[in-house]
Amino acid sequence: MQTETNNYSAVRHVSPLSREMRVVRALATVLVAVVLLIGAGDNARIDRIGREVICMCGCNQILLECNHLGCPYLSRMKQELTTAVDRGDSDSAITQFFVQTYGTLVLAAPPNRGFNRVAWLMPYLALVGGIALVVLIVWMWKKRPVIVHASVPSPVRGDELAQFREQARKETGL
Amino acid sequence: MAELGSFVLLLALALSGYSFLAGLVALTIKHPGADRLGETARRAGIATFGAVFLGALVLVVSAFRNDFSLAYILHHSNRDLPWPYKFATLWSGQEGSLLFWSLLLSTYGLVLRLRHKTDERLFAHASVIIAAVQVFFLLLLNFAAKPFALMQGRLPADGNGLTPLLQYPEMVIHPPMLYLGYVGFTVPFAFALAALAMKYPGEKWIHITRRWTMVTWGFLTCGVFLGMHWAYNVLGWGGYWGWDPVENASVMPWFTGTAFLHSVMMQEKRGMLKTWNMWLIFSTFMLAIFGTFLTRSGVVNSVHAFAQSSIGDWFVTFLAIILATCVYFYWKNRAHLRGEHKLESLISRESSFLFNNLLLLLACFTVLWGTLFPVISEWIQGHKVTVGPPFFNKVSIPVALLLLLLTAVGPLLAWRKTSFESLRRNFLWPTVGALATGALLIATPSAWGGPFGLRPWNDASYFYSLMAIMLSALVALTVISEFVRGGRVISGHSGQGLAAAMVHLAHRNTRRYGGYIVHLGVIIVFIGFAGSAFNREAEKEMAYGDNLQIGSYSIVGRSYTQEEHPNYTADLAILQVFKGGKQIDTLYPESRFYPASGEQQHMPAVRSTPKEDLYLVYEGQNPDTGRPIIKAHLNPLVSWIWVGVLVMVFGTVTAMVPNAAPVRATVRASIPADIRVRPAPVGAGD
Repeated sequence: MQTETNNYSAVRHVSPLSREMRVVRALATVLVAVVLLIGAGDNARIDRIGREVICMCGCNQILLECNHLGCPYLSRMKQELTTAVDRGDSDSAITQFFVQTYGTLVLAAPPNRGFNRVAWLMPYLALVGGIALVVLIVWMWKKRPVIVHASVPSPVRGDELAQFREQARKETGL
Repeated sequence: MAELGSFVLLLALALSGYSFLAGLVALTIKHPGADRLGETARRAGIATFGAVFLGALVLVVSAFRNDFSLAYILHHSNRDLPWPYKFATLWSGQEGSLLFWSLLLSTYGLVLRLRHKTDERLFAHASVIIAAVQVFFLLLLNFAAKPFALMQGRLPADGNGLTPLLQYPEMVIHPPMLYLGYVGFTVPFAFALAALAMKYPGEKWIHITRRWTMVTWGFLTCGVFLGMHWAYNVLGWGGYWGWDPVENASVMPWFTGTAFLHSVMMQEKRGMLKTWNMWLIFSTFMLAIFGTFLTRSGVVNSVHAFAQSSIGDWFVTFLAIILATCVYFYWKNRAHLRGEHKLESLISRESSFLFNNLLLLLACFTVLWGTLFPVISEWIQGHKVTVGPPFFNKVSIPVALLLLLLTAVGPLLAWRKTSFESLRRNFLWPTVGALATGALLIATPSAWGGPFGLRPWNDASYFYSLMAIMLSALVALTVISEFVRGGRVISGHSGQGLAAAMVHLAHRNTRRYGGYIVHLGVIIVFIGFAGSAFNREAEKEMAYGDNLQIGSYSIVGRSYTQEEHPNYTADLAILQVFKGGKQIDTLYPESRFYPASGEQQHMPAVRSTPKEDLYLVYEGQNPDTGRPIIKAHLNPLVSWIWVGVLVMVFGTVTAMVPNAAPVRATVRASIPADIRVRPAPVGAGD
């Protein structure tokens, strides 16, 4: 981690001019930081929204990943995205703009509403159903009747002993 | 040539048709001549290989001779195409790739029929099923997708050339690997259906098909990852997996095949999951056919579906026939598949296999669902929707992490029942190690990002990465502890050093320890995937001397030039790469133009290190300014994926090596004189 030392703390006699300079410098620093932060925020938004839509050139790739030479859509769509972000449009407004301009196919994933919600729900329903099935199987297997010999077990001999040894070998791995 | 090619394909159809019908009759009638009829069917099956091989050879020779009277050669080759790609013409289009399918199937059939002495009746049944599948592909080749169709009218002087995307060395290896995997699943499918149809006693058919399945799975694994490597190095978007339908089609049978490889152990060891395994292998084969249908029919849009046409109806019909046949035999002989043992505890190897299968099938279902949802949406809503990476990543990553957890836990659980004491003993230190790994990642300044360690609470992708690496550590530690524990036992008996004892141990039970090596490969791959959360990219118009900064790399535009090749022209950017003020490399990303097809193609330049890949793309020139545009990606840990695959392949090969002879240990015990037992082999279980 980088550390910075504050050289100004060592100055004892501060003239009014230099104090003004300090205030100006501090304000300028804050301003630059705010601008940079806003810029970084904008870039992050462009990056995020640009990965929620696809390029409409037919490549089916995420907008920011389309790399087709001379793609007729890429630069236009990127420009539209940048302009909307610079204008301060909300994420949903920008997405809506793309849907209105290019249709629902432009969204890289189905919107989580209406029938499209089924797309998102189904894998989780399958997981729940699968777990229920496994539990049912386990329950059925545990219920399976066990054959109990009425008589006192006789000593295991010859082939039978070899068979048990083989089974033990398979099940223990040693 | 065209006449010869068409003739041999017709002959192959007749031979495989005979192999199927005569084989079927021989198996169903009770007549003294049935055996001889069956033998003629077997020989016809062997002859099918000769005919299909000749057909494929004719097509390849036609490509080398630039015989543009064949429509297929005209559309997929040209005079200046380098010779390895002329060879690859065989599988670069619809008709050729179906012929390649047929060739591989007939090769598998040949091996199977030559090894029929293993179990003549079972092999005869399997041979009939393979012949039936062969008939389908040869029907396609003879009537729907003819590779020897002739051009009409005046012939052009040159062909259209091979799709530029396919003009890459890996394309000479990737499709054959993938197809060997797809087609190879026909063999275990054929054995499974044969065993069900003839109510084959015991699990011997599983022992027979075990190596087939592992070989096939190994090929499919190589095929899928070679496809990723090709996508990474050719498509030029900086990634290796885009959830494209063609990619999805290749990974679906891989999921079910992996599930089968695990659950089949339960059938071998405990006589359980017989119905489940039967349907797993049926599903795997059907998914392989379904994948072929997806990539051929045009039912879904794909970036790299190179061979689309209207043969989808054929595949749908074939799939319906397969399903009906499987359901028929299952229903008829379902009593034969009844399990033999009961489950004794939820904390056991058996239940871990159940959950492993559940998650693998869930992963398969998720991919299938996402791939087909656009079609379902069109049916129901009247319009398509896009189901892309955001969907697949969101629903698949949690499943993958759960699978990773099971990979750590499952192998250390005992068959039947595991005590809590055993759990504590086996997992205490691996769990501590995994938690320490996580703490280290959070505490250590990030190598790929800001000044802090990994911050899982800032972003879901960071959280997933942290979990993936921690679980990978857990798997690695459990696997290593297994090797060390077993190695100590052997070392104690034999006096060997620990390392030699571990090699000895693996050689004693290759399947088990080969499987562990595959698991190690899987976690290395996962660590590679985890790196994608930290991917960065930058783009800049770069003239001579301009500088582009990404991570710790500084890229300086040195020169831009053009190269003429027989088959294409290339615009090259010559870029110097600096790190810490010192030049460490020069990279040459290209933008190619192929005159034969009139298509352009990026060829990225990649500098790969274990820590990260610097991936540069020459995106062409800005039409307004005329300045070259360079896009740089910094992709951490990508090379781990390729290393992990090599480890997986090594593990698969290890698992196929026959076990070494077990050590014979003298057992001191009081045994009644009338009982004679053989000494117990050490380390031979799975």
